[in-house]
Amino acid sequence: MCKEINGDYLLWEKLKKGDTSAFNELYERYAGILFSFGMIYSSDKEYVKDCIHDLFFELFKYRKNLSETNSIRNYLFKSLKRKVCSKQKGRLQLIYTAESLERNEGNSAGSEEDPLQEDIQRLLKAIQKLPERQQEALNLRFIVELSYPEVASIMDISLESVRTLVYRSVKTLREDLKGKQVTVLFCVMRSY
Amino acid sequence: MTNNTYNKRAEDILTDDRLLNQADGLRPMPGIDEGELSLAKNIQQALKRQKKELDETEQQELQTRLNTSIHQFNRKQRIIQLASVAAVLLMVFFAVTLLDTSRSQFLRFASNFSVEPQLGQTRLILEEGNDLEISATEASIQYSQADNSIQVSSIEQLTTTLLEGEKNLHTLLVPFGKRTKITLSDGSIVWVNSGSKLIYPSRFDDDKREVYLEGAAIFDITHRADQPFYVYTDDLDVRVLGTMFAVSAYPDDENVNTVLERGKVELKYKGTRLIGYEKDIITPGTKATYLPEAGTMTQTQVNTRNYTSWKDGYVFLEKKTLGYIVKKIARYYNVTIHVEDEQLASETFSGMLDLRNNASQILEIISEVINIDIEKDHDQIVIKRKQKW
Repeated sequence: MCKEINGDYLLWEKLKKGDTSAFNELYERYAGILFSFGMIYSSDKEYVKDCIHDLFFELFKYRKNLSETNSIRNYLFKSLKRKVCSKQKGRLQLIYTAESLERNEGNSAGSEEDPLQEDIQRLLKAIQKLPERQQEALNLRFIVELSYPEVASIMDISLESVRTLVYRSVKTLREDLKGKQVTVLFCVMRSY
Repeated sequence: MTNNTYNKRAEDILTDDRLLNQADGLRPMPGIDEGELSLAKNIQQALKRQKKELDETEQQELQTRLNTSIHQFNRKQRIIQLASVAAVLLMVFFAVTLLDTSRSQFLRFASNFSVEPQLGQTRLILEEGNDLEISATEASIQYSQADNSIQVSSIEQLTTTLLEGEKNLHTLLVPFGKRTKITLSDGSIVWVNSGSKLIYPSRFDDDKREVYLEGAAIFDITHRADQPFYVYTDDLDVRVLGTMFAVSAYPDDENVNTVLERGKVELKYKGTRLIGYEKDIITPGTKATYLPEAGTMTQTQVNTRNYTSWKDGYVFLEKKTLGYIVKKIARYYNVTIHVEDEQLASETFSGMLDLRNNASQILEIISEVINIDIEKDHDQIVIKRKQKW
């Protein structure tokens, strides 16, 4: 991680000097994860792509005026979040789409029957009932697979607060699924 | 297995990266309830499956889009930079000469294409690598602002080309022996004569309408008070507000002629003064002849149709030397004509020629009036004084 950040730092410096290859490298490095990241705030794929386009285009356009930054990664995530959310009037859209559930079904269709489907759906439904901030923390940590310090920075809260959010959400989920699933889930778990 | 550790719960596992990494879901972990472990793993896995990924084609599409945006941005940026460089030069050389940035941009662009006047088809050069060849001798090109299209029509065919949204400079190359009538996007009509080059934008978006001409053309300009029309030639600029006039600026002619049929135009040229440009306003019925070498401008009253009638297919000649007439015919029909006798070449004639005839027919008609013999020598037509016997 440390190495990567250093790599980013060099890219950033090159980019500020107008090096276009640095720009392309930055794009290749981040387009994928930024997309996954953006998609937790919106269900509109094309919209998220537009935002990524705008983000990188502005980065290029204003490259000479970029400020010093400790983490390019953080800067990209935060800027994209601002972009995606701004046009949706600041409301987070933390939605598990029907499409994504279907996709999961589609994936498992070829292989042996996936008993996880039902549980996953039940779990996702329970997650959707969680407060927004808790969902956001869970999504950032486990969908985009960002580290806790990164989640904290993106959500503009302390590391402890992030952990608390996740901690509480899991507690609620357990209550929600209480009694019914534990054994089943455990059996299922073995299949991993 | 030890029992002394307190029981970790799912929330402990999920908030502790080290524990989560250890929990591969295959083995029970010491001190952790299996149910809690599985809850933790299930939450992790269920969410992980929600990850939406950009597939490779999408990523490439997005990158292409981004590159296009950047490319366009850079192009605009370059133009701005050129303009600001030009502005600096302007200040430095202000005392020496007046520089017109848009003019020099036009001229720089104009130098990209040579007319290759002797042969070939009429060519309409749109964007890079997009040429339209027009084989007809008389062609008509029409730009339409409404549907952003170009219509090319000749006797044989009609083609329509749709333009892209961008404003571009287009070039029309008319070789000797051909002519083209072109209607620009503002509705102005230009009859471009043989061996000429006209460069113009596909749309007139700026506060000026600017075209570049090499050769001869007649302009019938639509009136737009807020958007003056400029015709640049290598030696002289014509500024118009809406008028009809003819310009002849062939590189192999030693003078540039502007004939005004109606309206008012302003001519800007390098005069006899050492610095700066001179400007003359000419009135209808005037022919302004500019000699770039000497820097002199002379105005004479003329019958303008003598200079503009070729657009309608005939030409009036009033006391023109045979040499002049022959040069015109040679250009118009793309033939080589040689007048053997210099004294003969300087004799003057008057009359009207119907340009729908071909070169030989026209020379026949001339030979009926004056005493000349016309001989064909390979590709060349030779005019001789009729032998007396």
